[in-house]
Amino acid sequence: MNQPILAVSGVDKTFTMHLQDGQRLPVLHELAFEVRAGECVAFGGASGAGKSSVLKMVYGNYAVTRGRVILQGRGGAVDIATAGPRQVLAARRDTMGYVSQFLHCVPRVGAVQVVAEPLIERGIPAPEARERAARLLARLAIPERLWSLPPATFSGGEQQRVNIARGFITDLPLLLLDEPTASLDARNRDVVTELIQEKRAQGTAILGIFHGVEVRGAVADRVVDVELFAAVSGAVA
Amino acid sequence: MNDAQPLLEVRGVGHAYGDPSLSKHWGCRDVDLDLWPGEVLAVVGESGSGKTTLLGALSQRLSLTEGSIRYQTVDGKVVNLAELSEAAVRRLWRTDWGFVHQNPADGLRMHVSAGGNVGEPLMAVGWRHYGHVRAAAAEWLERVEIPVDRIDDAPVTFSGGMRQRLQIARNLVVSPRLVFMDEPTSGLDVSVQARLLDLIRSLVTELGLAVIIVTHDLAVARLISHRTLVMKDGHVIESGLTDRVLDDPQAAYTQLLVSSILQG
Repeated sequence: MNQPILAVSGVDKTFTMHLQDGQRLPVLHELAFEVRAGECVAFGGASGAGKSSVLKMVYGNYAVTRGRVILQGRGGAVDIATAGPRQVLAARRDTMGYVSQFLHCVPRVGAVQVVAEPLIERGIPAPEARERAARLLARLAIPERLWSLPPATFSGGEQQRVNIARGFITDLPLLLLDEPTASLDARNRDVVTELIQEKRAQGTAILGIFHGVEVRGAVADRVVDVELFAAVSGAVA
Repeated sequence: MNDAQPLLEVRGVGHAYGDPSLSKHWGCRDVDLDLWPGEVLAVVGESGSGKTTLLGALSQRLSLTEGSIRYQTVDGKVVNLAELSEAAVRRLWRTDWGFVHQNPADGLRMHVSAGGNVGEPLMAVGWRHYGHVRAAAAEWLERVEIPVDRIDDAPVTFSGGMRQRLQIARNLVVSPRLVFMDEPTSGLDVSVQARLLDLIRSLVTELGLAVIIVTHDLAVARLISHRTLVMKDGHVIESGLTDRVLDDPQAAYTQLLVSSILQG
């Protein structure tokens, strides 16, 4: 009865580089895996194997060349591979969140507001959203004097923690994590590990790329080795 | 309002310049699109790609040579714009639609006070009480971050960024449902641009506006739009979710555009 929240099957990803005479760059072939509620699945494989590309395809950020990416939302299943823009936006609002490697800064918006925005967009009253944002920022050791400042001027590690807070503040069924701990010190890495474990305990399905085996070992139930699905690369006639 | 219906349904739209009996020059052609309430659509492309012609055709400022545009009115009826009387179209402009020009001087009355520029659209829809009009104008100046003590000054005395913010207030004061924007940030300094974009972004979200914004600047499209259309030689060559179009462009021309961005 435990239906997967995410079921990826038969997925190919090929980049066509029109600026290099239409050269085709096959990356993945027949990729298949599933993620269920409360489960944390980590990607393995060398840099360049296509781990980030898979996350981006699931999020609708990269086109899927072939195959199915079935996401089980509260309102039914949607195939992200073929869904239109409005369906993808609805899935991002209601079903899946994404923490990228870098914070895409919105100019002039303060850190608390940056973190609270995903809640406000989903109808949580602004004072409550900001209160929850402040708690998360405190937990991630962002000094209170920075909360009202735009994160553009923060250090790399601080920006990444703001980014993590923004990604973790919502309660969505699926959370996609692209190296959330890459630029963090040991103490903050532990906080993020705890946050991931709490999400899992609440039933969130997590799919991620984790920097370092230590974090991966602490959070992941299974590893999907993306290299097993590598497309035949090299010279493609 | 019916959210299950698009606000605007555009099918096979084309506009040809010049005498149609002679050889036609198509400014844009074969354009299909749906725009939903609350959605921001960016139209990107280089100059000459047809994006401004498309905006003109959609906003009824240029005639349709081909195709149809259906619009869902505030009471949920779907009308064919070509069949509306001129009076009905003028009424839409007063109540339902706005147009933000690249050059604020094209959308403002430059020698009328800022308060007058914002109050005039309200009077056109029947506001009569001077005190109420002035209070509403003052509130809108504040929302677009123009000091209220400038309410009696004419925009001719304003900076470029202030003029553009005033034009936005003049357009939004009647709570339109659909706003067309033609390169609204392109004449401005970078810092002024960022402030204006942030302002547009928050007003659009707050008011649930549908917007069609023409821009040659992909960063503008990324910051404020949900969906993007890429135009070249009068045709839409790629469209989709904005971040998908910009991060994994499929068409050769879109790949060229994206790869031409200077990394800041």
